[in-house]
Amino acid sequence: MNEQARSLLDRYVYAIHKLLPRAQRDDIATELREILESQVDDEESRERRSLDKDEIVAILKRFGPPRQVASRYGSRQYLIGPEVFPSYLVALKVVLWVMVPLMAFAVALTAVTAREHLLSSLLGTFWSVLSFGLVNVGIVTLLFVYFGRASSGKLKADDWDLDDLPEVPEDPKAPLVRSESIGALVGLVLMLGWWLGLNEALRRLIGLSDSLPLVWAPVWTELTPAAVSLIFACMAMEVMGLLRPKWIKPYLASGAFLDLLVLLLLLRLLGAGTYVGVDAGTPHQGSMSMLVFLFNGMLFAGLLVISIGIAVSCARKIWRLLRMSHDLFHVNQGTRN
Amino acid sequence: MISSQFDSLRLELRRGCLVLAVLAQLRNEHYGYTLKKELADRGMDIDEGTLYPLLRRLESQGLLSSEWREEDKRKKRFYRLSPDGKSVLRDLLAEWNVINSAVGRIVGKSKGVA
Repeated sequence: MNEQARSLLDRYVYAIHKLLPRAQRDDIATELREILESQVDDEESRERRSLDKDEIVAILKRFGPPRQVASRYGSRQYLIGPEVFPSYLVALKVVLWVMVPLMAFAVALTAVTAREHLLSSLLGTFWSVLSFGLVNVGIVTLLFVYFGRASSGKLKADDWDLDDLPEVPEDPKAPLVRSESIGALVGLVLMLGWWLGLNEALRRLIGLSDSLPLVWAPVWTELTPAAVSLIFACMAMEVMGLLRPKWIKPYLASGAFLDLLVLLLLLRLLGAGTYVGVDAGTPHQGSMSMLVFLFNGMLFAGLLVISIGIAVSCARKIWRLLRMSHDLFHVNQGTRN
Repeated sequence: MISSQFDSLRLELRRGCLVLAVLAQLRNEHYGYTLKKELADRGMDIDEGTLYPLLRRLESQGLLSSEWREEDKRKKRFYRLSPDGKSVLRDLLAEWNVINSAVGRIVGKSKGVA
């Protein structure tokens, strides 16, 4: 079986795997994969050649749409039809993904704004948001009961397209990529140099004079020990990733922890609001206020973007750690790198 | 309309027969793909979407037992009839013979009508 066939089978089995009952999904997916491979091997030995893409697709089409295959492994007693049940789960997840942050935000807002009777205000807000969420879940359920009845038995075996198959996500246990660690190390060295003022020294060395009469605000000096320590810690982590690319869990755990510390540092910087000021010896300081305002605004925006990037990076590391513990798809399918 | 009625009745008729055929075929051990092929070779073609979930269901009912084993350098799940499955199969076959003879007699009598 060639690489193309293997990749198509991976995507097809993964599409079914996602929709199977959680308790059995790895076992069923492994068996389906084995059956499909047997079928491909059987046809290849009969034809005495590798099957091409269209022939593999024909086998998968005979097997049926992933949603239909997955639904046949579910319970036989259902309120919502098996054809639409996987979509119902997706819709329910979307509702919950919207509701949970909304609830957290509403409760946090109440906690901050409530002047008196904090507990009863919190309970009142919680109950209101919960009722709203339950009503939404109810509406989604009723809609899918209707769709399930309406589409019962209408899903045809070839009523799906290969492009509908999701890509198999990256194996969370795949070794770390060395080039990424090298790139990160280069970035960290540059950042360390910038923070310690090496760029100023370099400018003076090559004879450039200060063109703008601006000075850094005290917050940068205040944070220098913490920032430099964090940069060195991140460098140590990247060196570990470079030398031991299979130490994925320690790399991700320390990375997520360091990301959180960096976020704290960035929050302190964002809170400061002022990053540059006018040099005390500059004449006509008043005329520089617009320039200072502009610089501070740009630096605030830059720091905000970096903070969002770090938060996303932290969330991705934690997500990958969780997937390493729970997702056995790649292990059982034998698709580990 | 008549065609869809026929399809639905045919499906109902086949459903019970499939269970009987699968249980009978699993008196000898098979893994999913060879079981499907052997059933097809004997004239009972079952589509994959029906057969494999059926195997799971029969196993969860205690009528089949299964184990993962390596064959031809690949791990495969082999199914066979459990002791409970053997006893159920014996009873089902007896019931099948009764129904088959009864239907045979009824259809035989009504031949002129059909």
